[in-house]
Amino acid sequence: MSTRVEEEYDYLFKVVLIGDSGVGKSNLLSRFTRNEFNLESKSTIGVEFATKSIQAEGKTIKAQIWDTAGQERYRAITSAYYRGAVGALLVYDISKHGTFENVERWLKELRDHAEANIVVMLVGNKSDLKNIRGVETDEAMSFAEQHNLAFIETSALDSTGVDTAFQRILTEIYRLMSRRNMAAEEGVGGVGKGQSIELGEGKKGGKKCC
Amino acid sequence: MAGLQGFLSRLGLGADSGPSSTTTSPKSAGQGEGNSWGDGNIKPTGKSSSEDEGNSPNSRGSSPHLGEQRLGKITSSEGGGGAPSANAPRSAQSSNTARVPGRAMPGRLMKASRTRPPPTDGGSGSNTAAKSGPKEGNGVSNLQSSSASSSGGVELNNGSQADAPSSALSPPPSSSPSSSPLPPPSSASSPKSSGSSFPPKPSSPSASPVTNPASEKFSKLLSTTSTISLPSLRSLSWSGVPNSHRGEVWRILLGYSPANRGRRDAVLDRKRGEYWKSIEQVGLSPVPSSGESGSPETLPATLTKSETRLLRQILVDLPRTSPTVPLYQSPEIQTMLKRILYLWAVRNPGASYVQGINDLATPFVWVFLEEYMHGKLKDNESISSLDVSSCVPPPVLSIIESDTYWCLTSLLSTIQDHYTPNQPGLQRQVHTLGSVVKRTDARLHTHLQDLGVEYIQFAFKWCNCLLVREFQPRTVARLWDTYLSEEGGFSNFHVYACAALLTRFSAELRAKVDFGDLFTTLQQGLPTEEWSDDDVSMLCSQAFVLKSLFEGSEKHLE
Repeated sequence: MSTRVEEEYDYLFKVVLIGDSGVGKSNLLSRFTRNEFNLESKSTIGVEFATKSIQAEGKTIKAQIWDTAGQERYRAITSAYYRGAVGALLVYDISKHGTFENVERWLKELRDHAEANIVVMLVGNKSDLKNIRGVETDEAMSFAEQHNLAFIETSALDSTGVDTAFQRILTEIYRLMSRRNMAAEEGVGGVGKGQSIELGEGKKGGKKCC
Repeated sequence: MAGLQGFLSRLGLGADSGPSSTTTSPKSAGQGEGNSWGDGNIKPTGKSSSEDEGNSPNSRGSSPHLGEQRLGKITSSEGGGGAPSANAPRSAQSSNTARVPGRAMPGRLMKASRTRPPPTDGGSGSNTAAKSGPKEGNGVSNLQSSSASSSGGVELNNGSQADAPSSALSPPPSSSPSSSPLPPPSSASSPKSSGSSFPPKPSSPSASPVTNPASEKFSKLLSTTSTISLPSLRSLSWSGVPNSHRGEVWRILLGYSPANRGRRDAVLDRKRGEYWKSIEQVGLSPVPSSGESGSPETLPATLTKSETRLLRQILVDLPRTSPTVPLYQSPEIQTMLKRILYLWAVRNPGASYVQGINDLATPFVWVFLEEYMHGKLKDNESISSLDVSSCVPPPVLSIIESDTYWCLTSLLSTIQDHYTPNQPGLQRQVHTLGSVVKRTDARLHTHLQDLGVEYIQFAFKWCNCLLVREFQPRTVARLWDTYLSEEGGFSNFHVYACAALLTRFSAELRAKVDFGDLFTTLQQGLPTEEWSDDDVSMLCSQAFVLKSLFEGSEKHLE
């Protein structure tokens, strides 16, 4: 149980989960990485972390996902984890409009603390709560378009969309990175195996992945 | 102290000095070479507190003379320890070591305390009135709580334990179903009523007051003087407080309940009344328990925007408060926590509500409920799954709620900058923790560094929630006994407890060779579910040693 040989991977991408508290970030993470959903989960204090590897375009991509506390008070601490992140899942709760209204604030957080070209996906979680939906899909979708974000609805509870969300954002990060590497091919030798990459400048964020 | 220093310098501090250990804790077997300061020097304390015996259901059978023996020894060692808390562990320790012959089957004890629910269970043989030694209902009288089924038993027994001798013994709360079927309170007339019910004796209820030694010591200290000596109380509590007395002791150690018994009732009455007045002032419904109006989800319309946001945040966290402990999920407790947290946040705008403060309220709820339920629980019941609505009458709940509020307030006042913006106090603690571990367990420190795990990544939670999330509720209560007995227990001693905890699992942690594994182990919690009071005593002793070494000598930590 203790010692495990690190699995092989081609790329390591750091992704952060952000959004208001109680929207289901931790359960998205556990659903994706361990296929678990815990109704009895505690609030996240500080940060938590998990990894999972996926295949995208023939490459093994290891996602290192940092799950952050949602309360505003913790942002000073959690924003430190934005450093080096190449992707962010910005989560709200489709049954609570307030959590969607705060998405703008979270975007500002990212602008202030994250890499300029971080790939952001807007995630409307708890899609199983259709009967008490507070945020219409159209509303969220047009917001996402407007801000050049990818968008998906998920349910960590019944698994809907969870794998797709991570798969999409990781693939998008990979594509973005490959394009940039290609562009910079001549000069610097791209990102080495098992290396974390940072999306540098020079590419405008083609952030829509769907 | 000099001896202690010598001992430690011989160990060479950081170096893995090889455990000379024969520690009694089975756990430390697995610790092996991991323990960088050797178990040997710490060990004696491991078996310190005599409350262990008291708490263990198995101790029911322990012979009376054994108890007396212990009592005698402890008392004498106390006499020598003029210095307050600092010496407490050591004196308790030596007396305990001396008692070794008397401690029958530690293994069995340990096992018992692990497998059984919190040792509150009164057992079928317990008698109801004894536990309560209830006093007149003035604790309740001025609360506007619905006086539902209130009878003489509604007030918490605790304050009353001290006062038991003088108080008229009223019958147990008739509303408490669990208590009614119990045998009649024949020993209730004993002045040491609380002690006589703890641990419950299998023999006839009219047996002479053979009391649990730890419990008796507390009863004595709490009832024999008009003003309780705080140094003595700290010294005694350092090694653990029996469940029967914990509530009362905590209230005193936190400065909420006056050490002067004469003033106590008046002060507590006033504070409890104040709490409920404040609740109304901030616009919350004072309805103590469930029901539509008291449901935790209710948002009063009178709140401002920011207040609404605050309350929303609290409501988001309520169902996530120790979710695996059914007690905290009951509507009564959720409502209680909602009001407590909201009022504290409103009254402390510099910090306001910070996630994790909800966790800090839970030990108080636990301890006060345990105090009230002392002797009332059946063997198969535990506080953890207590049916609050049927076991605890509303007036008692309202007392528990106000006491929890004031105790939480008192605790948080000692760590104010833990929860102010950027949480500087907390960051400082995490930093100190790193320095201490670097000095005392260099291998672990290096290992963490090598794998890129930062202290802030896991210890932030430890400091934010004061280890509440790292232990079972009963274990937290025991740990906090020591915190409350130490000067700067939460602001300072806690750091050393964290260091001791890390070192305790040093070998296991160093066996993780992958960042993810190591981080996950730290984040999901070290394996402490099975910890007994002995394990905590050991941890506290180790922390004490570290603190003695490093406190005030920052150079050592550079």
